[in-house]
Amino acid sequence: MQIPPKVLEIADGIKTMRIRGAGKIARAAAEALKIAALEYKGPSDEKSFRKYMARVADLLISTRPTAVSLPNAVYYVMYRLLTAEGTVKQLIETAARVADQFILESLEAVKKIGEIGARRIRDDSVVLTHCHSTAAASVIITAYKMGKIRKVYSTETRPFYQGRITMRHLLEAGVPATQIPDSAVRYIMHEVDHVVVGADTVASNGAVVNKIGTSQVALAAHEARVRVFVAAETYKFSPATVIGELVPIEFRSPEEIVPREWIEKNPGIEVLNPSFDVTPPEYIDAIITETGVIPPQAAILVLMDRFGWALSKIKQGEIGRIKFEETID
Amino acid sequence: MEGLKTAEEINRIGYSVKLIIDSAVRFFMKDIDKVLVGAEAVAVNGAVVSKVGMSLISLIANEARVRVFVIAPLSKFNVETLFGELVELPEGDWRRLMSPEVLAELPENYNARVPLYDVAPPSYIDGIATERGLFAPQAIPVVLKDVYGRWPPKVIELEDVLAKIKSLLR
Repeated sequence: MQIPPKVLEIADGIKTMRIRGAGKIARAAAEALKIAALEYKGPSDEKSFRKYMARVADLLISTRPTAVSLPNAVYYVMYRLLTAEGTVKQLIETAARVADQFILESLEAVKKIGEIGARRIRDDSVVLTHCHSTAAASVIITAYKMGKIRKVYSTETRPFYQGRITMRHLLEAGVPATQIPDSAVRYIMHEVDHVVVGADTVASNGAVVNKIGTSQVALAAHEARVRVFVAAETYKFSPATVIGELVPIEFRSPEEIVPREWIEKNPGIEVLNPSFDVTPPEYIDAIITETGVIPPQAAILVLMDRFGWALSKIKQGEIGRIKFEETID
Repeated sequence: MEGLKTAEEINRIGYSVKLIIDSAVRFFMKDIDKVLVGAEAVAVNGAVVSKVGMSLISLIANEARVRVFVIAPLSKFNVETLFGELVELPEGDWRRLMSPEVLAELPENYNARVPLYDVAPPSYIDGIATERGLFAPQAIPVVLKDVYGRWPPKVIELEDVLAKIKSLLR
């Protein structure tokens, strides 16, 4: 049967970036799977239903191939659907229920990460954070409310100055925050007790892909024996990295760094603008997830626990890609 | 944004230049063979005071085993650090560094620190290039002994310097 228009609309929203942000994309994908299940009007045998859902899953994954939160939301729902038994009616109920469960879990994850992470912050701490991360801010604000934080340093995070969003976010919660230039990280590190940052993607070896500059913040912290905590929801762990897939690093427009006139005036100068970098696991003391605090080396356990089924499919199939439709015979 | 001027100047000499942001130093360090920087001051132990961010760059270079060279004329060597004087590191006023449009958009109780210089430790520096040659930071005391004729070098009082200048001008 045809894919319902409401589902196509969500897929298009993710593709055109009308829906953006790792969490929002993931929840929208789960919602789309739920709608697709509830609006199923095809033949009443299970195989047809599963085939149809697999087609929807493939469509959703194809909208933004690099954002790991999107396929992970789809894996979450599809794994539970494809391993469930029952009539079509029961399977539809299962799909709707697990989609809702994913959405709820993802919304609660930030709060849980805040509570779990705050326990790891020592009393009277000075914390440094880079860029803007809702999960990292949740840890900082929760710890502040527990009376554990004396001061927070937030880096500007050029070229987009996401550090100013962090400043607003923290100041509104009453946290005493001070902005510093990205270059001043090593200068300030001797005052700092903990570094708390977010993550875009966590690889199977515990390496963390995050906003450019994170890896040198972690290096400066490591040198000064300052603890580095990464706050990351489990849907940011990337199953494809288990089989050696690299996380692609996006290079963005040079005009985000210097004005177009300057670029045109200086054709001999190439402006390079990578958006993310990779922090090696040896510079990370702990990854704080909603299911608990883990050493980065345990990232593989999170992947096996949360995306075990996806892992086995990835190992069988083409590198880094799952075609749900092909998994059903 | 002084890096833009550096990029323009080096490009004018005829070298191809790649411009990156301060946060991308570690990202690109694996592609680098040598780091070359100037200095504001050099302490007698070979520690280098330079524009803020230099110490972070030297750390990143050290991690990647990339050589770091500092170019500093002998006039930048701070002999007084031998007697325990610290090199003062002033901080800037963030309000003066931001445009009115940016200032207007900041939260009410926004606060920032703007360190201007930082100190790269001698262990992260491979060589300091001076008009007398290239030296390891550990060799700076020997260089200064040579320059001042004795070790420790005698610090001349300001009055004596002025008197000497006056006598020379007379």
